[in-house]
Amino acid sequence: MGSAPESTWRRLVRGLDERTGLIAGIRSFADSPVPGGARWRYVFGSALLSSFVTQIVTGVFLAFHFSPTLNDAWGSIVYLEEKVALGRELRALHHWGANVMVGVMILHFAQVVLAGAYKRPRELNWIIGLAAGGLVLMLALTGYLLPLDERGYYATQVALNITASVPGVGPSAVSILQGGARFGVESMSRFYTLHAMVLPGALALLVVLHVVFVHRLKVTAPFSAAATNEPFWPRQAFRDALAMSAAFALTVVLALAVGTPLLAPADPARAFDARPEWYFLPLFELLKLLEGDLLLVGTVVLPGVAALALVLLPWLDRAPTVATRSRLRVIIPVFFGLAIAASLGAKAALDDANSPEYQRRMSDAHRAAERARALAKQGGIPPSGPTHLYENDPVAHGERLFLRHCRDCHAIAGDGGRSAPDLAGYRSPKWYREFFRDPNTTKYYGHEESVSKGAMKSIEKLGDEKLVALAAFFARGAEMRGVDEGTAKRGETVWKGESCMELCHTFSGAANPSGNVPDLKGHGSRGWLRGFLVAPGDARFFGKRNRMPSFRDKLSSAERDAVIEFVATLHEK
Amino acid sequence: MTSGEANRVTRRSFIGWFTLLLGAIPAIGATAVGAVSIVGSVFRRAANGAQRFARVGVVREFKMGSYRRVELCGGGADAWRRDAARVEGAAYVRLESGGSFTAFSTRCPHLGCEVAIDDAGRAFRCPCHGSEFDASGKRKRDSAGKIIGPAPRDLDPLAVRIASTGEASQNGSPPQQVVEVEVATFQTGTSSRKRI
Repeated sequence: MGSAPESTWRRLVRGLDERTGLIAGIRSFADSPVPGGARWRYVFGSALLSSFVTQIVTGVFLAFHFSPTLNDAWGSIVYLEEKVALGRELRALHHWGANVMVGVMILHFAQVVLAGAYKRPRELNWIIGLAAGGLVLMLALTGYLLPLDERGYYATQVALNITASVPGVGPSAVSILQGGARFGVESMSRFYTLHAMVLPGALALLVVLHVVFVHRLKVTAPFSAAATNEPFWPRQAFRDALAMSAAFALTVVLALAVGTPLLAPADPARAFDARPEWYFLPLFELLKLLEGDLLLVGTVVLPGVAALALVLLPWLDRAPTVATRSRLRVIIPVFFGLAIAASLGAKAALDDANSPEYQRRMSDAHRAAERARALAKQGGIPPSGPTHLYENDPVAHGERLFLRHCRDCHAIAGDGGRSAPDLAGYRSPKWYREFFRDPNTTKYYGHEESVSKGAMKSIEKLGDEKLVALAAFFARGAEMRGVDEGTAKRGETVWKGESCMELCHTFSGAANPSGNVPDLKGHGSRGWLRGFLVAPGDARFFGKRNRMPSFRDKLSSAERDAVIEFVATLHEK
Repeated sequence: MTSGEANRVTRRSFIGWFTLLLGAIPAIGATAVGAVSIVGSVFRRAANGAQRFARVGVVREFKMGSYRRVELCGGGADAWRRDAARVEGAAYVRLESGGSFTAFSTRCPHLGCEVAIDDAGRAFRCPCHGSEFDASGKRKRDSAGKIIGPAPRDLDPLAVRIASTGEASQNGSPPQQVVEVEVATFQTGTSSRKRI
């Protein structure tokens, strides 16, 4: 059988060629003349094509794992990342592949403008390329939503609201995109169909046309290049192949080194600072600069004018040749526009990097994401969707309830309402100690609408030693762990010794005879808070002075317990 | 052919293959990762191997002699989902004279259709391909002693256990005795019985 395999193989290829013209087709591409000889600057188109193919491959495999529904999308991504072999890597390749693709696309665009490759007879291919670029951005936008985490959900809400702001057709376009006036179950089907079928199909069509036209019209050689041609194979092919591999290598490095973000499941009841991907940041920044009625200028007018100018570029450029010097009037404005976009994007990124407020909220969001992921791994996701995950976790559930029901009045470390005590550090010895110094600062009962502004006076005159002990005594009563037992004991002695305090506060666990001053037995403990949330106006608590609403009917007893569990964690703040 | 020409040809063909390889790496790499991700499910299915039971009713609801059809909610996880109300299958259950229980999976061992039970609750027939089973789950034979229908084995028995609800009811009556049936699926179409 020595020489048989080769001849069989050759016979097979020859037979196939006879029936399909395969060899001739390949040869026509391999021998396709490259004007001016092989150059590195011609590689961007091939690298972009390769990025697109990679996105199709990873996208099709992701579709095997992804469940495009409101209740399952996020869970299927967590499952993919946690349980599926190479699932994390697959998603990371698709995510970073999209970023690399947009990056390569910008380079390709810049090279085409520099080379004057949009000029006659390539005007049509230039417009096809621009349209394909638009589709790539739409793919990025629709793909961003699909994991249905907070980031994707809110960024998409912004994009949809921008679309809706377009006069006339805006609201209808949004309704068609999301299948109704509001985002819901149908929206997921529509975005998924757009992202996984319609847009890639349309893009593939344009890409095929684009490549066929490049094959027919050839690349545009630099003005100064010799008028000689060189076949595509092997020297240009090698450069292109290397660029394709380099783009993929960059994708792999980013995928492995950075990983793919997945925040907590989208929850319309939670606040989130929506930010788009880096390539939309310039538009995002533009919208910050243009307020009020100028919104349309940033969302429609400026991008529209820029897009129109680009489409008309072959006709705006009157230069007779592709010589760079003769086309500065076109090149400079385009690159100036790119520079402005880059600066706007950089400013947006820097603003966020330098905003402690934003950084804090992002780190909160990342913590929420970790907790949601841990809960999903542990107990699975209920059929009612991942926002119900938290109900298995009292602290996380309590936090959500706190944000919804308590934050309008109570802040945590300054974040929230100002008409009731700030609960950061609540029930810690430090919290009590500072309270004794001045109960009437705004952190405690110093607000105008507060429950008992001025009702309690500073007891600082007792001296630091006694007050530290007293603080430890109350913190222990509030079930704080790690309170020094000796100090707490001394605090108890202080409490008993200072009868003046008992004139106001009782320590019995029952109603205070005066009816307006809280009884302090177990103050801040779970049991005390349980009673307090049900009836804060009870004589045992603030009595007639009370301004806090009762949560007896607003929250179920399990929900009240969850809020209490959350409040019990605030001593760490 | 001189040796110099041969060298040049070799070098050219090497660069040619190298170029093809470089160009193919992205597609090959992405395909490899994706292929591993979907093939992995073959090796993942053993994870849910522990025996699970579903509560199907209280002991006194079951009659002696005739089978009752019950649905099995095992509360098992389905990939990322956990749904306590998910129905994973059904079983025919009856109380035996000795106080023990017998249960069969309602799936026909042939190709998995749900076998129907006769009005008396004592015999089964598969509506798809006509296999018939008697009250003990055995395949029926015709007068010539030939097995009726294509089923390769008898109905698949499921383990049954009696458990106590643990809590006394409000009016002070003792805890209920409840029947729990194993949640299991079997490979169809084989003469040997294999859990999947």
